[in-house]
Amino acid sequence: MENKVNHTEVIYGLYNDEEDLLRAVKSAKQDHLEIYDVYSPFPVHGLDPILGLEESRLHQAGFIYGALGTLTAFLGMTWIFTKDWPIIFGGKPYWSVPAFIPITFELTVLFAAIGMTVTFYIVNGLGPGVVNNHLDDRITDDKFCIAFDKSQVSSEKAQSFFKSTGASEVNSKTI
Amino acid sequence: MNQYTLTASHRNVLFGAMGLGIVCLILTWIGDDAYHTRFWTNFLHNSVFFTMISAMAVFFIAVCITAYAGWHTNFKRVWEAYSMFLFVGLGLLLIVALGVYMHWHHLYHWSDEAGVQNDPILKGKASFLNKNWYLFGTVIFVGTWAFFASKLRGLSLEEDRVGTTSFTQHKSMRFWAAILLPIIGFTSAAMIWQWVMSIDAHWYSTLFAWYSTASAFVSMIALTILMIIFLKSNGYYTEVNENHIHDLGKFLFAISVFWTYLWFSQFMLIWYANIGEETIYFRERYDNYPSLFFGNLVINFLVPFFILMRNDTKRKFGSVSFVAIIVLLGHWVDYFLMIKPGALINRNHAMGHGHDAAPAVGEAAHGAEHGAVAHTAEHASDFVAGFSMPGLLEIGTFVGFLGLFLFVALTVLSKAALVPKNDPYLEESMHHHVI
Amino acid sequence: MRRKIYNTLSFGWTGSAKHWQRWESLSLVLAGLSTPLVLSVHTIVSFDFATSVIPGWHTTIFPPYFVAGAIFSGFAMVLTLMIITRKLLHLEDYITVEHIESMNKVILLTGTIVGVAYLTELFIAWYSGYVYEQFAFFNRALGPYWWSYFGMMFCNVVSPQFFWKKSWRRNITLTFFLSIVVNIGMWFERFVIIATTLARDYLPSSWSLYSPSWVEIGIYVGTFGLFFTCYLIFVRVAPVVAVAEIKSILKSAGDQYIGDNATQHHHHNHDYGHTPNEHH
Repeated sequence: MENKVNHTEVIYGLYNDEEDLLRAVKSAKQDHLEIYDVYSPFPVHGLDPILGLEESRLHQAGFIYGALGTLTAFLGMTWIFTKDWPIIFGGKPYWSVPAFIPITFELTVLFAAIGMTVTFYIVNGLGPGVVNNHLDDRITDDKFCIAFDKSQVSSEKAQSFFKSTGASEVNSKTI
Repeated sequence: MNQYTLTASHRNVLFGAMGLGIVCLILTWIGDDAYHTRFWTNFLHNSVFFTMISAMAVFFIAVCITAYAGWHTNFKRVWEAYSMFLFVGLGLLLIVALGVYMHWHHLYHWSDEAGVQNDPILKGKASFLNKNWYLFGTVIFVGTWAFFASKLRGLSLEEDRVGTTSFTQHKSMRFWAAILLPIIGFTSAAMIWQWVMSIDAHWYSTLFAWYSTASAFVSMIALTILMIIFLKSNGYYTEVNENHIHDLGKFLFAISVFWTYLWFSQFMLIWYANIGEETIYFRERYDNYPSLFFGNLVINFLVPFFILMRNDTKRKFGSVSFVAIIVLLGHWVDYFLMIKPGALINRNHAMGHGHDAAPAVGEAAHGAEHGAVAHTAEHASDFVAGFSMPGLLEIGTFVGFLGLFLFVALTVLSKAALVPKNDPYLEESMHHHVI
Repeated sequence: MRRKIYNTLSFGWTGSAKHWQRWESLSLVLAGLSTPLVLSVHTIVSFDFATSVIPGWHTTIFPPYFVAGAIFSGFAMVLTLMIITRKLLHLEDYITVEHIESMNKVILLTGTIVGVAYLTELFIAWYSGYVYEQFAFFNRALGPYWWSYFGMMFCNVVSPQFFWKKSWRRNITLTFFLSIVVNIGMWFERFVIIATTLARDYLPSSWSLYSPSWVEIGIYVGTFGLFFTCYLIFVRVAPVVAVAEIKSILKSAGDQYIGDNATQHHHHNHDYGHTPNEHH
C-alpha cells in the first residue's frame, strides 16, 4: 500500500476514535471491501492482524546488518593489526581478541541501527524533505482514516460503508 | 488445581537423587586425598551454588515487590519455595564453616594459622579472612536472608488467609522487600568473597561479587522456567502461559548477556593491565582447564544469545527449557571454575611443602622457586580426577544437591496454594500479555 | 520558517498502517540495541579509567559501576531539566508527580549501587594487601583533596537516601535540589578519580597538586553553555513530549480513563490488541 504519485482517486472517511476505526476495518474486511490504506496519528494496537498485514521483515534485515557489522569490525581489525600495520601494544600479541571485542560490539550495533533505519526510510518512501501525498492534515493530529480506491470500491458502496460505521466525514481526493 | 501435592513417585525420584548424591559423596571421600579436597570442594561448590540460587530467589521477589511488578504474581510461590532453601543452605555452609574451625578441610590457604604467619599477604588479610568472620558471616548473613525469606513468605501466606482490599500484608511486604535489597546487596558480596574468592587467597577482583551473583541469578531464572514447565506438564499452573515464559526467557537472555559482559569486563581489565598477581588467575584456568574455560563462555553466552534472540523461541516451551537446562549446567560449571583450580593449588601446596614460607608474589614465582620440574608436576597437564573436569562423582553429587533443593522447594510449594489469591497484582498476572 | 523545518524533518510521514507497523518493528529493535549500547558506552568510558595499572585506575568493578553511575546521574540531570521544563511549558498533566517519584526511586537504587561499588573498592584495596592501592584510597579520603572525596560520598551515597521517605520522593523542590546535588556528586567522583589519584601516585618526588587555570575553568563553563544551548534549541523548535506515543497510551494509562479521576471509560474490547494465535 505505498502512496506513490500515480493519480489514484480515493474516497476516504475520517473517524474520531480508534475503536471506531477498528470496528470499521473489521466490518470492511467482513464485507470484502478492498482497503486502499488506513491512516492514524499513532499506531493502533490490534490493527495489523485485522488488516492482514504481514510481519515486517525489518527485523531480519537488522540482524543481517548487525552480522555485517560484526564481520567488518572483526575481520577489519584482524587485517589492520596483523597485516596492515602491526604494532606491539603493551606487550600484547598482534591478534588480541579481547581488545577487538568492544569495537566489534559497537560496529554491530552501529551497522544494525543505521542499516535498519535507512532501510526503514527507503521502504516507506520517507526522506528529508520528501513530500508524500497525504489525505488530510488532521490525520496526524486526532483523526483516523480509512481510504478506498474508487476504481476498486464504488463511491456509493463506500459512502454507505462510512455511514454505517460512523465516520464523521467523508471526502474524495486524487493522489 | 491450586494445591500442589508431592506424589509418591516424584518424591521417590528425589530421594533417589539425594541417595545418589550421598553415595557419590561417600565414594568421593573414600577415594580422596589426605585432605579430602575433592569431597570438600564438591560439597562447597554445590552448597554455594544452590544457596546463591535461593538467595537470588528472595532477592528477585523483593525486586518485583519494590518495582510494583505484577507479571510474576501467579507463579510467585515458586520463588517463595526456592527462597526457603536458604535454611538448608545455611546448614550446609555451616558444615563448611565448622570445617574451617576443626580443620576438617584445607580449602582455604588462610585457614592454616601457621602458614598465614609466614605469608605477608595473607597476614594482611587475616582480620577479614579468618575462621571467626567466616562462621559469623555464614550464620548471621545467611540467617538474615533466611529470615527475610520467611518473613516475606509468612506475609504472603497471611495474605491468603486474611488478606483484604486494604492490602495490609502487601504494604508490609513492600517495607521488608525494600530493606532486604541493600542488605542482600552488601552481605552477598561479603559472603562470596569469603566462600569463593578467598580460595584464591592471593588474588582479588572488585567485580567478583557482582559476577558470581549474576551467574547465580541466571541459574535461578533457568530453574524457575524448568519448574514452571514441569508443574504445567503435571496439570498445575494452567493460568501461567507463554507470556510469562516469554518474560522469564527475556530475563534468561538479558542476564546471560549481562553475565557475559561482566565476565568480559573482569577478563579484559586484568588481561590488559597484565599484572602478574592478577593474571595468574586466568593463566591457571586458560592453561590447565581450557575446555572448561572456553566452554563456559560458549554455553553461557553463545547458546542463550543465539537461541533466545528471537521472540518466538522465548515463547516455545521446548526451546526455552533447552536453553534453561544448558545454562543451569553451564553456570554450575562456572562455579566449578571459580572453586576447583584454586582448591587444587591449595591442596598441592599443603601436601607438597607442608607450611613452607610462601612468597608474597603469586604462583608463578612460587613455582620458579621450586624448579621447573616440581612446578610442572604440581600443575601438570596431568588429569586430576574431579578437578580437571567434572567427573561422574561431581555430576552425581550435583544431582544429589539438586534433588535436595527440589525436594525442599516442592515440599514448601505443597504447603500452600500455588497461586496467592489475595495478592493485589494477581489480576494483572492472569492477563499478562506480551506481544 | 518553522514550517519549512517541520516539513523537512517530518520526512513525508503519512501515518499509513504499514508504516506504523514498520515503525514499531524498528523501535523495538532500536530499543533492544540501545540498551546494551548504553551499557557498552559507559563501559568503554570506564575503561578510560580502568585499563591502567596505577592504583585507583585499575579495578575490575569499573564497568558496571560506571554504568550504574551513568544511570544515576542521567536520571538526576533529566530531573533537573524536566522539573523546570515541566513548570514553564505547563506539562504537569503529562509529567506527573508519579513520574518524579519513580525516577527518585531509580536514583535511590542506582545511588546505592554506586555506594556499594565505592565500599567494594575501598574494601578490596585493603584486602589486596597492595601497598600502593591502599595508599591511593587513604590519600583519597585523607589527603589534600579529602574534601572532594567527602563531597562525592555525601552527594552520591548519602543524599539519595533521603528518597527512602515517600513524602520526600514526591516533593518537587527537594527533588530538584537533590538532583543538582547528585550532579555535583558525580563531578566530584570524576575529580576524585582523576585529580586526587593522579596527584599522588608511586613516586613521592612526582607528587604535585592540581589547581585549575582559567583555561580549564573556561572550557568547563563552555561545556555548560554547549549543553544548555543544544537543549534549549531543541525545546524551542521541537515537541518536548513524544506526542504520538502519548496518544497511543492515552486510553490505557491516561488520567481521564484510568484511576480515581477517570471521567471517560472505554469499553475494553477483548479482541482488542491480541494477535491471532493468542487465546485467552
